[in-house]
Amino acid sequence: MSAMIRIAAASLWSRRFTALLTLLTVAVSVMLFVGVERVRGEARESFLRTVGGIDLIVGARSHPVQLMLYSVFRLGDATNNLSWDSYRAIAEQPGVGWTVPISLGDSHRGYRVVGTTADYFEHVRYAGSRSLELRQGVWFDDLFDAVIGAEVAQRLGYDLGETIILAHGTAVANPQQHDDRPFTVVGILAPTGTPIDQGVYVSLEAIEAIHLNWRTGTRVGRTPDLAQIDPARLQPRAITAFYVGLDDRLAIFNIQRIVNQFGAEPLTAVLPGVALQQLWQLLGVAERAMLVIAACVVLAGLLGLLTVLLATLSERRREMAILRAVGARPIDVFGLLMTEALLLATAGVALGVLLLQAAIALGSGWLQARYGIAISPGWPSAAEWKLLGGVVGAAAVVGLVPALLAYRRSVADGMSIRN
Amino acid sequence: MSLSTRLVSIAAAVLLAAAPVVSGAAEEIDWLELMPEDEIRMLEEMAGMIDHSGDGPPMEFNSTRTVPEVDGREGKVVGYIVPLSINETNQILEFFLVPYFGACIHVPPPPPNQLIHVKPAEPLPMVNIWDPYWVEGTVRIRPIENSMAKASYAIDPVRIVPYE
Amino acid sequence: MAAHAPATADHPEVPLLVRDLEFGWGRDPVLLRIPELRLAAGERVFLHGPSGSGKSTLLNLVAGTLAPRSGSIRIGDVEATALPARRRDRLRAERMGFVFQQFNLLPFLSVRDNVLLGCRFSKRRRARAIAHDGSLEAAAHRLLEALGLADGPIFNRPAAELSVGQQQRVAAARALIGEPDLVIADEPTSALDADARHGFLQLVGEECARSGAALLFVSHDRALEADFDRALDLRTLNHAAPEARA
Repeated sequence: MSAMIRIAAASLWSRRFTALLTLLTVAVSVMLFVGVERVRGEARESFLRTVGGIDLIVGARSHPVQLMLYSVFRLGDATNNLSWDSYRAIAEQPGVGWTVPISLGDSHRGYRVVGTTADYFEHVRYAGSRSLELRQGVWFDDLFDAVIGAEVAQRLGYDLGETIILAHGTAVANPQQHDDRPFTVVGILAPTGTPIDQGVYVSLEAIEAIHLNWRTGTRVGRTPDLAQIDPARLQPRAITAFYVGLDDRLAIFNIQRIVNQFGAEPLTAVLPGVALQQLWQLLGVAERAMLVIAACVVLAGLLGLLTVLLATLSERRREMAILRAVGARPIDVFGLLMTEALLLATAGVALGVLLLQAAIALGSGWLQARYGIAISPGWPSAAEWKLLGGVVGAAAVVGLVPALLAYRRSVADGMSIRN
Repeated sequence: MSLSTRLVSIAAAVLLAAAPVVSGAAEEIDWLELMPEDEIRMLEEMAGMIDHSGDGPPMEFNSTRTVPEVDGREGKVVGYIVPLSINETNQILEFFLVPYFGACIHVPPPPPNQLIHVKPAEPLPMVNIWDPYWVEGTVRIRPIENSMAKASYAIDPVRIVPYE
Repeated sequence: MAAHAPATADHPEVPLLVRDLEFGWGRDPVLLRIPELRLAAGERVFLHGPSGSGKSTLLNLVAGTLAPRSGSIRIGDVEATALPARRRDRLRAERMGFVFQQFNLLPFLSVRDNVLLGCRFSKRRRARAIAHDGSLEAAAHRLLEALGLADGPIFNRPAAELSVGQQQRVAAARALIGEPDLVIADEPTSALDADARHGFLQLVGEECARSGAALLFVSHDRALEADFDRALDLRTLNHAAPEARA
């Protein structure tokens, strides 16, 4: 058997240019195939890590998936805000344990600013049940204090005491700056591997303060002197959304109903677990389409393999006759061709996995910064091993074609090539 | 046929014969059995009064009492799974089993005694939340605090299978 | 030179005995009808057969890659016609070595690996080679040297880089490694220069004698007949009708 492998390897090596090209074809297709699966899997995991311990998310009337996306994952923008009064009315319903209000709409150099309270730090969980921790400093206390996520600190090179300017709106390049109200970084969160790392956290009052002289999206007039402002004016009048933790889980559907039918303004309450399944359902079609396309690319790669093996088959009749002369059986000739196919496929798969690691190493930073999806290079997961096994299996099936042809020819030719 | 093949065939035949008996034997528990008699009668009286004309919110029906006889009963209930807590691999850690899904807004949401809290021993791979499932196991009544209800239903699940 | 005695004692007395052989393609008329063809141990037989006389068919029958319509082909003590195809392949690997006119070698394998192909498919031959020379490498080296290829560095070069003359010697070494009972050579010198032919033939003959292998040498070149114990003509041997021999 090892004799066959040596002969197969030597045979491939003698055709190494063609063999290498075939290898690369298979490798690139595998890289794509496994890459799609890996991004899909890790994106899902990233999302799933982010949602923890929240029973309901409430915001202005919108599609449940959209509400979850902008309020938890910081993707997309809110359609509308909800009034402070409505928020308090719901927060005081029996069964509600805690709430965390959030106010979105500003950004800092592309990172979303989250106006919130100390409840955020206390109640928000990630990866199921892990609480937030401050790597450095404290949660905000003074009006213009800010706490930043680990990603923000790392990418922008910020440290405690840093002065930052917030921008109005969420666009990355933004001329609308709140440069009359600089903030000071007083705390840096420990990394969580979720979009929490990409937030800049300030108090709700601070959000009100920086918009005091803003009308219809632009700054007008002079910046008011805060010492002369009645503190009541800094009381938030509207928020974007709030998270709810229940004391009484049995009330969950009642509270959801109350929110969805709230008379004063149109609101939506979603259960994160349910909304996530809706998200997967929406994405499911796209995911399956991508996998099918990637599988087709693999098929194309394997067809290239088939072509290479078939093309040289007639040249190798003499080779096979020689092997028969020294006592090889037709099944040994079959085995030789199959071994070549499997060697090429396995090497291609291995190379593909390596290429994928390289691609991930290069691109993961961008994915993390842009979408909060953390993908790390690493050994293939169980699901990915199955895919890889499937590719090698498909290669074996493809290899059957030249192998069987060679088998039949060998039986017919024997030691001498008959024309 | 070798001896081991024979043994496997016999074992398979026994299991196949027994399988329908095992799950078929589980007694079906109806949702209404979880509701006290007098509340059911009140519901029946109200039945004719459901108004689809659209003014105002539905009448709230706060059915919070449990039926003590149900405690410890073994059987299966069919309902929809609402995940309350999921882990990183999209497995369900705990869920509510509810009698209906996406009811029209004219009908109140399921009251506490029509909610069954289920916490599987092993994380349950994500299900299709739009399909009904059988949850088989022992029904329990648990006292709770901080609630509009004094006690709630739970099932210690033995098997969770799709409803055919 | 080898210090071991040749292992002639291990060879059967009659390495090849063909009796009442009949062969034809499909439903075509009989191509070969051979009442008897016998080789004794260590015998060197010249078989004259011009192209088209059915010699490659006969060689394939002896090798077991073709099955006759009827008749007996005994390789030593084994009746080859009673064996299924894969066992005949095994038999060929164990008992026979072949040298063809050209294209004997796998071009992408080294000289060494080509020679060793001769015992790749037979444990018995591998064992014999190791027993005789100590290792497969030593056996290969010795044979190549005996056949006139003493150049050491050639050993690891790909066979494609060798001249035709060198390739034939490598082929002969492959045929002889592991002491087969029977070496069958089909026009092995036809591609060589005229002056090289006798020399090659002599070395092959000597090595056959040393290892106890019988040699069946098929060729159209009657000039070489003299070096053999016996000369046969396929056209006399083959009793099938002349019209059948296309």
